[in-house]
This record gives sequence, C-alpha cells and structure tokens, in this order.
Amino acid sequence: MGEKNVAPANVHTEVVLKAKELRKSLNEKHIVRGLSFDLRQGDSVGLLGLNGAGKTTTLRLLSTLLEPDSGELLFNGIDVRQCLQLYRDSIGYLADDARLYNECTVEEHLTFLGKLRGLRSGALRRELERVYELCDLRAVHSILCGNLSRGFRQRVGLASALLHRPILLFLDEPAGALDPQQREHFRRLLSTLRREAVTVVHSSHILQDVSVCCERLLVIDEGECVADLRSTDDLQELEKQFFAAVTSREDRSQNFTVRVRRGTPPRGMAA
Amino acid sequence: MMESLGKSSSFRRTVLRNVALIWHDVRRLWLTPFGAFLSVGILLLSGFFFFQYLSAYNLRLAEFLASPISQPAKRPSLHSDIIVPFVEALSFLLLFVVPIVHQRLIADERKDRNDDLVVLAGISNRQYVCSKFVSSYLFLAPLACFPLLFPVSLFWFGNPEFLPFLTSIIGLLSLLALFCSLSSFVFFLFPVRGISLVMSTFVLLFLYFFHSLKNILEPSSFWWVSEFSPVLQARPLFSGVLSLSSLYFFIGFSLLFVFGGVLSFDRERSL
Repeated sequence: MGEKNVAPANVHTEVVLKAKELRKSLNEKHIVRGLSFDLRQGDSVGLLGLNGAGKTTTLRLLSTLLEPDSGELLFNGIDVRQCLQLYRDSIGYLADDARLYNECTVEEHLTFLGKLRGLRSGALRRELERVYELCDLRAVHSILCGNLSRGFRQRVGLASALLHRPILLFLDEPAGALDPQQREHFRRLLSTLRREAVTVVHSSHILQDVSVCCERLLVIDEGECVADLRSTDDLQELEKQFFAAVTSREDRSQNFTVRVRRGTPPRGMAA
Repeated sequence: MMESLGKSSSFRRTVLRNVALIWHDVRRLWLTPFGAFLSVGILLLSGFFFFQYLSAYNLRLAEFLASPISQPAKRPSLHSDIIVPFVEALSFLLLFVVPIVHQRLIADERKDRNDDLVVLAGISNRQYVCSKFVSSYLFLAPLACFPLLFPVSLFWFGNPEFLPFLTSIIGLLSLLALFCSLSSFVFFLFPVRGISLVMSTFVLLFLYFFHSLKNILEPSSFWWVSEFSPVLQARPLFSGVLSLSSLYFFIGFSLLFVFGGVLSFDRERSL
C-alpha cells in the first residue's frame, strides 16, 4: 500500500500528453464526450469508471488505435498526427485481453515485436533479458503463447509493451487476470517504472486496484471525466468520493427522467 | 533513447521492420500444420491432374503412331498437351487456396486484434497491406511451383521445350500475383471474417470465368471482356509466348488492387 508514495527519481513537471475535448462515437453511440486532461512525465494515473464508462475507448484513443471524431491529442505540445511515428515509438499499450501470436513461443513473440520496433540483435537480446526479469517470464520463455494461462498472457502482453522502453504506458485493466501474488509483483513493477519516470495510465473498474498504484485518479463516467482525485491511503474516503462523482450524475439523470415523466420540473430547475 | 537501444537508421529500420513482418507471417503459415496440409493437398490434386493429362497424351501419341502415313493424325506435343492444361488446372486450384491463406493471414490476425500490435509497433497502414500481399505471395509461390516437379519429370523421359515451360511458370506466377492482390483487397474491404472468405472466393471465381461472358453475351459488344480477362491474358504466357502486354496487365492490376487494399485499410484506421 505504501508503494504509491515512492517518488520518481527524475520526475519532470512538463506536460507530456494533453487531451483536449476528445470525442468518439461508435455505432452512433457517444462513447467519449469531451474528455480533457493533462499527463505529466512520471505521472501515475488511474482511469476509474464503471463498466461501459468509456475507459477502453479512451485508452485506444490515447494509443492512436482509434481516431477521435473531434478534439486534440498533443504529445509534448505537438499534435500526434504530426509526429505519429515518434509518438508510437514512445508509447506502450496493453489491452485488457493481451494480444499474442498463439502459435509462437513467448520468446518468438517478443523477438518479433522487438524487430518490428527496430531493435538490432544485441540490443534486442538485452531488452529481452530486461523484460524477462521485469515481468518474471524466464520460466515460460519457450512455451507457446497459446498454452499460457491468462495471468501469464497478461505478463507477456506487458513485456511486449515495455520492450522498447516507452515513456508513456497505457494499461487496460492489467490486473484483472492476475492472482494476488502476481498483483503484488505488478505493483512493484509499476513503482519501478515510476522511478524511471515512465508515465503510466492504468484503467480499472476496481477502486482498490488503481488507488494502490496510482497517485491520481480520473473518474470517467459516460465518456466524461467527472472527477480528478488525488489518491490517498484512506480507501473509504476515496470510495465515497468516487461514488459521489458517479452517482450524483446518475441521480441527476434519473431524477430528471422521473420528473419529466411526471410533468414536474427536475431538481435544481424548480426555482 | 533510440540510440541507446541500438536502433537502426530510418530507412534501414523501415526495411528491416517490413522484412521482419513478412518473415514472421510466412514462418507462421509454415509453423502450424496449415502449410503442410495445403502443400500435400495441392500436390495430390495436381498429381491427379498431371497423370490424367499424361494418359490423354499417351492415347493421342498411340493414335498418331497408328495413323496411316497418307492421313497422319496431329502429332501431340508435350507442352501444349500436358504442360499448358496442367498449369491451367494448377491456377484453378490456387484460386481456392489464395482466400484460405488470406483468411489465416489477414482475417484471423484481425480477429485476434494482433494487427493492433503491428500498427502500434510503427508499421504504417500502407506497409501493413503491402507486407500481407508479399507474405501471401511468398508463401504461395513455392506452393504453386512445387507441383511443377511433375512436368519437370518430363525432361527425363521426353524432350519438352525449356523456354516455353519457363514462360508457363512466369504466367502462373503472374496470375498468382493478381489473385493474391485481389483477394487481399477483398479481405481489407470486408473486415468481417467468413464474409471476406466467401466474397474473395466468389470474386476470384467470377474473374476466372469472366471471359465466358463473351460467349454468353453478344461478342461484338463485349470485345473488352478479353482485354480484362486474366485467364485470356495468361493464355499466351501459358502456351509459351512471352507476351509483354500480358505481363503489364498482371503487374498493373496487381498494383491497383494492392493500392485498393491500402485505401480500404486506411479508411478503417485513418489517423
């Protein structure tokens, strides 16, 4: 629990990534509605929201896998469309269901991704050793990805995301498939990355997951950022703030709907 | 950071990345029993066709030898009676194999969302589509050439002409390039797995029998059918005439369909 207080050694204060009024609709449904926030180098941010709040879409927008309908994404002050290759070289992305080539061994999979990233043989060998160590994969490096358990798949996915030493890391529910021991290992890994000034955005719908490893929590609801909380050790207080942010919206909209049906003005509009 | 990771210069890096992707795809097709099943299947069927044509040739040769000198029968030729129909039959077999290979190479990868990995690793949309075309071609070209061992055996027992045989191979490989580019275009146009397989097979079949339209419809109004029929364009090459216009036709249309695939993929993933 105390690990989130470990200060990164070389945190800078400049904004690395700035999202301005991002909007995205899929199948004519508004998934992300005007999302804006800043990420500074070494930040550890949790995207917290209920299921269907738009966390995954937000992360896919941030990782350039989806194009926003409107809004801007600025990387070091430059629109990512202007520096797409550089931006993609600087980010790592782990999807909720780790994407692996099932017919390849862990080593083949990581070697392939390393080569795609342009790593040469010596450097590639070194980086493979580093991610094996970081993600505790040495024991499974010769096993087919298709035969791995979900927890190990997640770790291989994380290793893929870390292979090229990204400065921004987007993790979509990374701890979902991990057992308690692996979760603890994962938390230690995140604090190591924070010490290396890697900016981590970590989504989850479980408050405890993100509150332990993140300093800042962005509460997402219906595609909007409804609260920007500082993480504390007081989980109950955080829970209260989270539910206040989420349910006040629900209450408002439910109340509005009920009152409109009854023909009475909604709360706050009566005066 | 890139220097410290030992990354290559920009152009070399792009080339190495694409080579890595193509090598990975071709290797992936051969790693699983898929490649072995396909090659055995093609070898068996083409062997069957070859011995059918060889038997027919022997019958014609016997007729020729038995015919009276005053009214001699047409002397059968190894090239036009065995090699040409054999290569045509092989091209018809490939018509069904190409969509199956693309199903595995493109549709399965997109279903598992592994294309996200590739795109995030810095492969552009254009490079991705081109590499899929090249990978499928590099996988299928040896598969198409392997059964040519049957007609090669004729060189031991008979005296077929070598250059026309070589031209037939060029014709087969040209037709294969067109099939690969058209099929990959259809797969990028219809991202839904299954539908793309059916559509691709249907389109290739239509293209294969396109020249029959001329027989069904008014020949004088449909003169252009022969200009756009790949089978008719391949026929001079199959029969041993190195027709440059046919080669331009195959190169031009292959590039056109690859470009179409790039546009379809771009539209889906534009950023």
